[in-house]
Amino acid sequence: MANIQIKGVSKQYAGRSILADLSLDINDGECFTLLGPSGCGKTVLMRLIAGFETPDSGTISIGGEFVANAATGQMVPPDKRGLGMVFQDYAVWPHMSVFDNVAYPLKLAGTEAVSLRERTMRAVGLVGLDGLEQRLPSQLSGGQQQRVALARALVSEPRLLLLDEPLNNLDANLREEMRFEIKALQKKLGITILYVTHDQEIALAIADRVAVMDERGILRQIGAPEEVYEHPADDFVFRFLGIANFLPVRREGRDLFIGGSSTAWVGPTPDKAGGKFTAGFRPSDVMLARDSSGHPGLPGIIRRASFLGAQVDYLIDIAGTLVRAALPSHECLDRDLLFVEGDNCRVGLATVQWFEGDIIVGERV
Amino acid sequence: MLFAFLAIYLLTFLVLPVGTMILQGLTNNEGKFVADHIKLLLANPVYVESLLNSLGVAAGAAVLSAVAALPIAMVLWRYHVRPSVFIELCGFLPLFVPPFVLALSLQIFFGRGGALGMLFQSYCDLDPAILGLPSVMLIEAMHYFPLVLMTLTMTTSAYNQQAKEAASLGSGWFRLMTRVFLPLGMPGLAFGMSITFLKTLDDLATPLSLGVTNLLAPQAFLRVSAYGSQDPLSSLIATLMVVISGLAWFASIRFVRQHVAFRNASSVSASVLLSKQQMIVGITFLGGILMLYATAYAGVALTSIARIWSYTLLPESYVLSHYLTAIHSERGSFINTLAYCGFAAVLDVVVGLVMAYAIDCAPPVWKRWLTWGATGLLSVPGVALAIAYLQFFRGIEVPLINQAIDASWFLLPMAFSVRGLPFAIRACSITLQGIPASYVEAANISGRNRFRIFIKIVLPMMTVGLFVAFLLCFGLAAVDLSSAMLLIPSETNAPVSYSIYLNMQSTTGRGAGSALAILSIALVTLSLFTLLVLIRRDWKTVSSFRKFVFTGS
Repeated sequence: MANIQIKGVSKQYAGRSILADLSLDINDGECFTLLGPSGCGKTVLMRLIAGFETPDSGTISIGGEFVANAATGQMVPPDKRGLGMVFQDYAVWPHMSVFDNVAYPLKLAGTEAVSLRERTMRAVGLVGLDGLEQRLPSQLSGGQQQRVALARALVSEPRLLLLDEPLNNLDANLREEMRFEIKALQKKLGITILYVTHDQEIALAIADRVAVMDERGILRQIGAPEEVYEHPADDFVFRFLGIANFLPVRREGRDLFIGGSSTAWVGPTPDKAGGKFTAGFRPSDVMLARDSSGHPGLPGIIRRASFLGAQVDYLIDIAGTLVRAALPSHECLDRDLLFVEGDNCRVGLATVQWFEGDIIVGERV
Repeated sequence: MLFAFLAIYLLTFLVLPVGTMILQGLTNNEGKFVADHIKLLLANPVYVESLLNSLGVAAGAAVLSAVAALPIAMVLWRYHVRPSVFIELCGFLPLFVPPFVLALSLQIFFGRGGALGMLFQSYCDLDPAILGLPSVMLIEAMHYFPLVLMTLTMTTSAYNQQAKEAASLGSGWFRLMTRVFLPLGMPGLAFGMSITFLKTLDDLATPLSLGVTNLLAPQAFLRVSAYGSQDPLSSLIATLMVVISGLAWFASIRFVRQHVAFRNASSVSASVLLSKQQMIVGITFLGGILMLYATAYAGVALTSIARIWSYTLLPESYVLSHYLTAIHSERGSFINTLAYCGFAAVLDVVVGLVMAYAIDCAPPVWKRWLTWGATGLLSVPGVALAIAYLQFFRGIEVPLINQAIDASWFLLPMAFSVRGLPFAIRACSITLQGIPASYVEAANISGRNRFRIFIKIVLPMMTVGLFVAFLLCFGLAAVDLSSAMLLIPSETNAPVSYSIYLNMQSTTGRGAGSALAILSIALVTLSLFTLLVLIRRDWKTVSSFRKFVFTGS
């Protein structure tokens, strides 16, 4: 059992509150990602779980056992919590070979020599570094060093693996490759993983569940990746999970209009009562048509057109609010949707997230 | 426990001795504060003159070296000639070679009967010993000039390429010099000038080798020699030297701590290929300076291989026997140097590491003060520290050997270690900062045994940095003649620097003394090469080395 229970945890630094009364449950055997902007306190939370920091208030338990209790002062040291950790900078010791780096936790635990060798080699093999055991970290690539860190964290067969943005320093291709490998490893070993990141793509790709934390250290939403992406709890979550467009909408009687204009709203309608709403949608939700085509939709003017290879990116002015649209290039070519600046168009929306009130933070013309 | 060791060390070998020395100069036999000694000091024109001379010579040397360095640094900047790291390191050679070697070398050339002195004899007497104070000032300025030039170059070269581009866009060079070069160079200039001031004020061997005694350091030395270590006037003179040095150092801090911009040398050199014009400027100025110093030290170099050299332009015949004599007869002083400086350097590395760790752990408000307090140790002159030791440890017996501590060699390495401490702290700080917290935390996950983590993880990662610190402290101790001249109980306990000095004082010992000096300079240069290799290997970027100098950055 390696479920984590965090109850009412607070942490301050120099009088500044980083985490306030935070509670969170992470299930045994799940891959849980904590997603939030830089400086929001997600690494602090991970360090509290690891035992490098002590909470000012609240309790933390792993596998049903208290590892930190601010009220009683109980604090289980990091090496007694049964966890492995991979750091953002890998923290692979440069003076030790791959083998020695990976074997270090076993040596400290007094593991017998034959078993130590066998387990170390198994961990090295697990991360695909066979044959490189005698190399020094300086003779390895960034990705290989990251694997060494992973092997070292796994060699003592921890019940919980903490990953602190371990893919940040890798190039895009390697990052993509590694995130699938981590997910595969987790499935293979069945251990609990807490993965901290500010990269929503990684978070969504590897998580069983995602928690989105705002810049004040408050958890805005916890759920499966699809749920969080498709049904964001609020505009913060919506904005944090990708490029977000917002359009202000007002209700007058049974009719809907855009912002303060007389332009009528065309598209999905809110199922909530109220006079003011904000329609949130992604660039990929936008469907464009020529103004002359007779398609229904919101009237827009193309302000910027950028051909990006696989897709065309448009900046569109809809009744004074700028929104972005991304259309596949082949669709633009097939359907004569290659606009130029100043062209009039019709904007349809496939899906819309409705938020109460006018929460627009975007640029208006 | 480590902090207790640190506190005992600092109290025993710095705070209490220096505090006792200050009290000795300001109190009477009953321990009451009196102004009698101050009045006595001020009433004696020799001491007042020495005070003014010391201030004048030290300030003059600092200004002269700056005046010489500024235009050359400007030209190098104008043509964006960036000296290599090795040349920058060579700029720090003055810290590792005692200035009296230059004084003696110039004396060999320009003295009466010397190669050039003889040529000019009918027109003027160029003997440095005859010129007195001005020659001390000139020699000190010349000795420390490379240091000022290099610190100035290091702080300004980061933006010389951009300055060239700005100039090509219409910004005048005069404007760039006044608005960009001088503000950028101020930390380097202040650092170089303050070191020149402090070292000149503290220098004992150079004035004595030129027969100049009307300066504070020689006066304090002569009073201790004549009246013993408990003489209150020598305490007062030493206290005066501490106060002057402290004020000078802390006055320079304001400039030194200014933001210093260093760009990675590799990226700069990769983007800048020297043109023919720049090569010519670089070779003319830097090569010219190198030639000038090679010529200046040629006196010692030629003496070390001359059988007879007197009243001729060049030696009449050459031998290598001086080197054999130096190695054979001064074996003891080499062993002494290894023992004293090695012991001091090891102590420095240990104490420096503990202090660097303490500074690292200190709250931000304290950090800055602790850092500047540590570098402020630079302002304790060797002469003052030696007098403080002689007074504080007088008559204290060492338990096992039944010998008075001030009659043993023990105090010398301790003085060396206190003097080298600011450099050790800085080197250890950089080394410590090079180990990210996550590397220790990664070890913590597997086990909390601090000693084991230190031995297995931290220490191996710091080896090269600590070795750099050791080399620095060893080199600095090896040339600290001011402390050695006062603390050495007998000639058999002398380090190499003292043996060079003693040998050079006699006509018969000049050959061996010169050979010793050349061997020492060769060893220092070799150490600099080693330092360079280590810095490149472990500190990765050259900016680390530059940051080492400018603690405020």
